[in-house]
Amino acid sequence: MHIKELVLLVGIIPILCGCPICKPTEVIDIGPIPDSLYSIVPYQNDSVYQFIHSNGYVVDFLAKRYTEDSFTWNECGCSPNYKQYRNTTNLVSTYPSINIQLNIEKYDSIHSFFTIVAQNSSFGYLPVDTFFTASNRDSILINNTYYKDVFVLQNDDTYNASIIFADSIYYNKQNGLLKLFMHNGENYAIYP
Amino acid sequence: MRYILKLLWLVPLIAFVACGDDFALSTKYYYVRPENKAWLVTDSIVGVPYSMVDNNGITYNFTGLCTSHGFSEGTSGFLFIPTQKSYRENYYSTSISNYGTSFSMYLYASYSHYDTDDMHIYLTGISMHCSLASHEVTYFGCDDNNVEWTQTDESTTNKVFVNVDKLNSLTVQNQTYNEVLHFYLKDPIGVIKLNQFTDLYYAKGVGLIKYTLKSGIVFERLTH
Repeated sequence: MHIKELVLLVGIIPILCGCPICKPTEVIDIGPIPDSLYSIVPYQNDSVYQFIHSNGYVVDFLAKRYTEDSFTWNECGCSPNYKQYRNTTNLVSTYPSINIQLNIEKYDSIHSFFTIVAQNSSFGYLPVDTFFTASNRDSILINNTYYKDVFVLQNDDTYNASIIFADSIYYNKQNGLLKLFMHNGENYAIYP
Repeated sequence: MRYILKLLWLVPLIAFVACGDDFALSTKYYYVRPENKAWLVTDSIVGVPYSMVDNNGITYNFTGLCTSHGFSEGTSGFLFIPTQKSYRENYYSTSISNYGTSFSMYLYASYSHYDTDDMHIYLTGISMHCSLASHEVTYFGCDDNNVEWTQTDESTTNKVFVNVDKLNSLTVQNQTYNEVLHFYLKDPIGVIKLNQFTDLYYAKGVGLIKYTLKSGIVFERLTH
């Protein structure tokens, strides 16, 4: 190998392997969660909501609601980083100890996702733009009150199948969680 | 010179010590006594889910009950020289409810005293150890591990009173269990939280059958 070729090789290898091709790019803020999206979870921060267990005990849940932002990250810096938003609502009861978390995540101007996690049961990674418009809904009578536009969510967490908490959930945008069906046949329903 | 020669016996000893962590002048194994193994959850129940219902009619489904078996290693020594390695047999069982309540039990050979085995229980953030022979409480711990406790002064006003009794039988949800250990405590200093237990009943060969929280809520085992 000639000296000239060697020098060329030594010069090219670092460029191909080590030097960044793309420079770090701009951060694009996709914008805060709009009210239309925020309203699919009707709970207010620091408010108390009541549910009644199927055997008659009324449980108080304290709502804690907050919004966080996060950034996408790409290793090469060849595409923009996005500032995204996530709104979390925790419904927490001290007895019995239950934590239900409702998340709204906005990824861009079109794509947003809705998730409910109840203890070790998980419902959805539901695309908001299609789920609330295209899914089947119905009216349901719960404790002598009619609720309309009710969606049924099924637990999709099979990882925790041995300690499953909730099988399915009735939910609507006006009232939020309407009924939570437990794996053991018991349930918690909205207390009118 | 003679003084140096006298110290020469230390050389092989130090060489032995330098051999590594496995060295000791003697090794001793302690096994759980056969009569105490009866406190373990029987093989036919291990792995079978169980349920408890509280006095508000809420059912807690416990699953994941498993028992593991092993030996814990200990070393005693003199002047930094390990003289004895000990291996204590232990059994560990645990289960967790759909509401996240975790219950654990250890059976330890010769843990606090050489002549007896210990049972360790853990529930709602509280740990208690007791000797199976004398029912002496050898350890009590809650969230704040610096809590002072006593087993002898029930009228104490500045410590947590803890105790263990053995009952001949206890009936829970119309089922009678024989040979039941009752772990209980009184809290005049207010360190126990409302969601922590004050009474716990453990039946021989069965496991957790009943417990009461400081808030007064009682949980009882259901039979299917």
